[in-house]
Amino acid sequence: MPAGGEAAAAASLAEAEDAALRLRGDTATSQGRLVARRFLAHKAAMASVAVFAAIAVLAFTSIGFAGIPGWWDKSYTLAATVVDGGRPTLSLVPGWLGGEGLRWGEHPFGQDSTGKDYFALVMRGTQQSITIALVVGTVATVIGSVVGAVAGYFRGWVDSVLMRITDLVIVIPLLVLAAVLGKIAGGSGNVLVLALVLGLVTWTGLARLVRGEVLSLREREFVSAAEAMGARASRIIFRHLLPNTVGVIAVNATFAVAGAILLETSLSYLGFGVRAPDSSLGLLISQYQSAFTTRPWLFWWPGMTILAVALSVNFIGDGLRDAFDPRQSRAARRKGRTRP
Amino acid sequence: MLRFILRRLGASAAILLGASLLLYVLMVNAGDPLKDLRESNASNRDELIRQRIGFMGLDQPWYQRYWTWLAGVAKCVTLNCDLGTNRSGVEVSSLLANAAGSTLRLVVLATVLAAVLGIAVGVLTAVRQYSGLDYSVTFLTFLFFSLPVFWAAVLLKEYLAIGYNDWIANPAFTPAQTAVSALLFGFVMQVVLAGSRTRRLATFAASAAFVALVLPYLQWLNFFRYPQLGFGGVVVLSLAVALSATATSAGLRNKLVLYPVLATVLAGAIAYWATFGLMENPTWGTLALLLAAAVAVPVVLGRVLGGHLRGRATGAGLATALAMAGLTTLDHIFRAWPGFLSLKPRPISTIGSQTPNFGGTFWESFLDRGAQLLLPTLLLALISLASYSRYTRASMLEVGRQDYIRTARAKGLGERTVILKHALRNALIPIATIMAFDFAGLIGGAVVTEAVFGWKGMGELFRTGLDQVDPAPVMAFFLVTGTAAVLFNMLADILYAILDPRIRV
Amino acid sequence: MRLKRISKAVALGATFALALSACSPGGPAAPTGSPSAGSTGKYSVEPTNTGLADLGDITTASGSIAASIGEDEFISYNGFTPEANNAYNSVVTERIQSSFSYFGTDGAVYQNPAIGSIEKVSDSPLTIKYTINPDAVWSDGTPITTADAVLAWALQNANLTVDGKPIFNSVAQDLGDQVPKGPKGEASGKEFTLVYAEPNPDWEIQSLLIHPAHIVAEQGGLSTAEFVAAALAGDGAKLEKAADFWNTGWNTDPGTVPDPALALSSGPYKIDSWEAGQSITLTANDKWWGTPAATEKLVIRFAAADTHVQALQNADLDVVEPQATIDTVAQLEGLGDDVQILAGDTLSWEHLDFNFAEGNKFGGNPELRQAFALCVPRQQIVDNLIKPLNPGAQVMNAREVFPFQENYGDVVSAAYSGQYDAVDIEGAKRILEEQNATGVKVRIGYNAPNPRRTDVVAMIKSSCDQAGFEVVDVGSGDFFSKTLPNGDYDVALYAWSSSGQITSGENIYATGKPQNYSQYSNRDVDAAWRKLATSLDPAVQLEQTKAIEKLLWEDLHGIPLFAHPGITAARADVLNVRRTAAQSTVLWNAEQWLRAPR
Repeated sequence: MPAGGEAAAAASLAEAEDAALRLRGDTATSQGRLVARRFLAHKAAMASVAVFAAIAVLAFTSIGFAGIPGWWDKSYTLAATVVDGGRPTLSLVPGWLGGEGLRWGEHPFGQDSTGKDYFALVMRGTQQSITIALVVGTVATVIGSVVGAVAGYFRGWVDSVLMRITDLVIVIPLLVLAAVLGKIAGGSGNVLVLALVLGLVTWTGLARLVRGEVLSLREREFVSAAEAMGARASRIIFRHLLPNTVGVIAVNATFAVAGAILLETSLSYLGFGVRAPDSSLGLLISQYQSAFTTRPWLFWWPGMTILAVALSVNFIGDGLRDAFDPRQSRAARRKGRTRP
Repeated sequence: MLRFILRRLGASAAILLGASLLLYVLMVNAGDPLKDLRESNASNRDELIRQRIGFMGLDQPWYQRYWTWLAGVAKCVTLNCDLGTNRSGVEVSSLLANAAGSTLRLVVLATVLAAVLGIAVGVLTAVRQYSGLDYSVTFLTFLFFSLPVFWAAVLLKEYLAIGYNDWIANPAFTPAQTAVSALLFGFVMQVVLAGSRTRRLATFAASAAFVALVLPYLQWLNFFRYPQLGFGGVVVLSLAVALSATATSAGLRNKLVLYPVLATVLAGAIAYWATFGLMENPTWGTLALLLAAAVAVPVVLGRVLGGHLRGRATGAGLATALAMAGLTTLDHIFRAWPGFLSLKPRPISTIGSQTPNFGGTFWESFLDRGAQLLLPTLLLALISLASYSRYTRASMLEVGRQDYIRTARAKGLGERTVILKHALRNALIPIATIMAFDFAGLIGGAVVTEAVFGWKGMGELFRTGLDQVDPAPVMAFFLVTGTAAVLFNMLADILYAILDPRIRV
Repeated sequence: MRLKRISKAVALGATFALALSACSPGGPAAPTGSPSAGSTGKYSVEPTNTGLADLGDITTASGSIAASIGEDEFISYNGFTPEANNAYNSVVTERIQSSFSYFGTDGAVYQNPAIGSIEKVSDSPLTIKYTINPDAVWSDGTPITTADAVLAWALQNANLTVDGKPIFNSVAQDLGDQVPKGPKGEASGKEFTLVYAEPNPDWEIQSLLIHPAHIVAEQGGLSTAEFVAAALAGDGAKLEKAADFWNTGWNTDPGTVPDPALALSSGPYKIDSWEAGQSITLTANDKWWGTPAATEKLVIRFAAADTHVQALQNADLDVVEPQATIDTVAQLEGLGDDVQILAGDTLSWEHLDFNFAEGNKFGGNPELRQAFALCVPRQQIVDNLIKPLNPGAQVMNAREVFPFQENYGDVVSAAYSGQYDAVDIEGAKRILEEQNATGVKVRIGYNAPNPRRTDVVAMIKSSCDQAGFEVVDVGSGDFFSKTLPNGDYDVALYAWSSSGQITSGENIYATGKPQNYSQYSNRDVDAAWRKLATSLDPAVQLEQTKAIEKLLWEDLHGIPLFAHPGITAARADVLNVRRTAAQSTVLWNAEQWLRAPR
């Protein structure tokens, strides 16, 4: 047990070391830049970022957001006369291929049963789903990694208390807890409330994983070294342990975001999620699940959007993990591999 | 370790208690249980409302109702559970007894299937990181993971169930179908087996040719309506297993292993005829007994004939005997198939966990239930495939760069030994956790799956319970899933402690 | 069909409907020409009216037919307790427990000749004579007698008490007051009469045959004669044990078939087997004396409505009642010649009700109500939302009769002059300007989630906002528990469903009645209802119905919209499947279903 003065000296030693590293980082390539560079080189991830960004921009600019009007003139709430059975007017097949030429038309995605513009509805649903997914992903990731790291690092009673709380939530199946909370929160009609509530129940898996990692990591030399240099617990957790679990966190966060979209879908199907007159992609699919043979556009547009968002988010996570974890990256692997 | 387990058990009980309180409070606040009656304009509405208040105990404060529920659950210790009544006065314990069976069957099967497939796929993609295989499998698993369950279920019913039923009435492949299947199979095989360009080409050609020949042949045999393996098929395949097991464990020249293994095949051949009548319409009891015999015989033979190699002889014999038992069972299932088809011309129903009034032999009802289980299991497994394969892949890659793996490679150990014995064993540690909560999660997923496939399992219990703001069925659902989750989590913790000696318990 | 459930108490739904029923008791009514009665079905014998067809001399064919109306489980042989009284239980019990009368496909009341006949012998006091078919027996061979009617009366008699509490836990409690003396007649005989204390227009649909009295008596330690004597004498204590058996003795755990020696059948079927959560199978009752069941086995599967179409396609089910949505219809149509689609109306109707609570802007201002009625696009709502499901659907202009019923045209022409048929935005705008109320908020409440109602509100908003209203969708899950009782709405959107009683509308429109949620009050309406409810003359009933409708239109109590559409579908090879608007579901004539010979 070092005396107080020594501890303070040691802490300042650790900080001095960091400062030196930072200084050197400025001249050479910093960790962050390395990660960014590796991520930018990941083709699948970059394509996914482009897809995700395109969808998000389309969704938020087309029908406007938070009171700001968008460029699409039709509303997702206004009923109208159903034209041509509500078929989409969008055509992508040029005339010389036997199609109807490139055309955007009056209702590119068609109309629903009451004649509401389906493009506007899908865009509104995408906004809601992306909002839900991002909020859930952020809340769950922050809570999960902090709880897991603190529990794993301190062990003892802190670990016990935190893990018992985690267990308390984990023991109730996710969909069940989410459905009950969704039924309670759904009445409020506010998607953000629903998203926050979902975030509060989806962090448990990550917490356990991070704790497992940290339990292993904290026996490693660099932690002992940091401890020996007198670094504070918060410093060790946030600067040494968490960065080393970033692979697990990134993989899990992407699953959490994609999972949140699907959780919302399931909840809406069961009737405990977003409710009409508001709209979400899940609600649209569950409303029109029986339409897939008869009015396929009512299913395919929201379905493909969900798929595109979920897939791109997953691939972004994949790219992130590779970027944080250079030893797994393509270049390193190639160099390391020797073929007979 | 014992103290650790006991402490965890105590903690688990406390967690269950806390979680039950949490869920009960949430349920009580989830809405108005009398809503539908308020909407009703029956002239005896007040009487109905009074009645429901009585059944649900709504005249008592919530903590008293919770206490009553808890006291009823405590009676489970004496195997006399009282889970209360639902809002119309039906005993929840009898509802649960009916519901739990089919749901657990579904979830256990789906978990096992997803874990086995997922881990295999995960290892494969980790070994072939950034290959075409890795990308396509990653894409596929993400695709499955991103599918909304209920919609995928409708598709499965449409194309797998109804499509297959239409097809099986008169099973035939058009030349185009055969060609496409052959090319596809060839393509997949070359992706999976990989290798140099010439090797890939050879694999592709061989597998495509195989399919192109076998499909018409099977069709000519009318195999899809009258599948057959026969005694010859069983023996030939078993011999193949026997010889390869001998070869890998000790080498074909080693008589100490070869003889007991061949003796096992002989014993199996005799057993095939001896049990033939019995196996035509067995019970689960007889099957278990026969399985025990199939384990006992090679063990005895291996010990007696194996000499100083009795360990290896027993292992190889056991593999052979189990393969042979499996093949014999398959043979009987094949024999039951035509009878099953005549009882149920459209084998896969889109609703229910079994056919009403299905009176067939053991194997025929086995096939009936199997056919009903097929789609929901497949669906649940496909969806959770992604998490297993992704975590295994990540974990394998993580382990793969540890020093001890490098050391193992440096020692000159074969790649297979390094991956399976050293890397996988350690990579499985985090997977144990995944499996623990995936199981509980799948019961949740079953809520949706059951709804679409018309099963009346626990999911149904929960869904209607929540919809009607009726705590008793929801709490019964929680009691089963919560207990399962707690047990599996505890197992995961113990596994952690056993598998990773660095973790002090 | 045989409506055992049709005592007043059972009534799930609201109103009337059957003002016409009294016009055609028993006798063969003319076939309803209404297109929406919907029947493109296939028959072995073409029906001549809305009641059961006469299949003639047939024998039971072997084989089975599988049907489903939803996922709810069968509960108990005794479907007359509040615990078990629902449509899903009734589809089983009505096959095995016959009644004196049943509802036809348009809700008209028919007598059931297999059980016997009902005849009104006096108006004052109202006296009804019942004659039981001499061949009628329970499935243990015991004849069906007056004793069984005494049991039916006793268990609906709340005056049979122990310690002040009724001994029978029955959904109906009021027959004891209506018929104080009980069935009069020899207990072991086949004839009895009922004498009502007050005139009761719904006398034809009383349940007077439910369960076997000899079983209940025996389980209560009494002879049948002792049981009948004690019941008629009002001796609750003596009957207590028997009542205890009746309350719970037939209940079994899901999947356990009730003891066939106790759970006797008086119908064409009896219970054969029951797989919990899956299905219940009925088999032809070998003791049934009437026209035998056309098919030996009837399998009722507990399958959710959204699985029905695919199950029908895969022949897992032969007869289904899926949710009526545009896509269900289109999917069914996609199945082509494999299925028969029977679309039509149900006895539920959607309506907009104004809030007449003190201080509400609409309740106190008839002009505002009129302006709103002028801008509600009723025709567009029906065209967009209902017609795709039921091509014969029309805008409903009455409350007490449905468009597919006989008296509809008569009632509407007397009560309504078409002033709200077409949307008149300009007219509505003018009224709002005169009232200086342009921009007034209209909160439309309904029970959410309900996509169709959301759509209806959206369409009203599109139209009425142009006239200067500001329509606000306040649909919520709390609609019936909070919004409606608290009066936090201007216009309520919901449905009433008819139970087949003539008098139940009084509860909705008369001052201070329990279902008068909108707090509407009009003395003339109250008086007309009193007159209707105490008259036994169909002509008077019709007259009062017209008067009530006219007053409700003049006051603009609310705006009727449409009758809910319903869909029934069956495999093409199943004959005699007929849709019904009544609550008895498509299984109402299940004993006539027959697989066409190939």
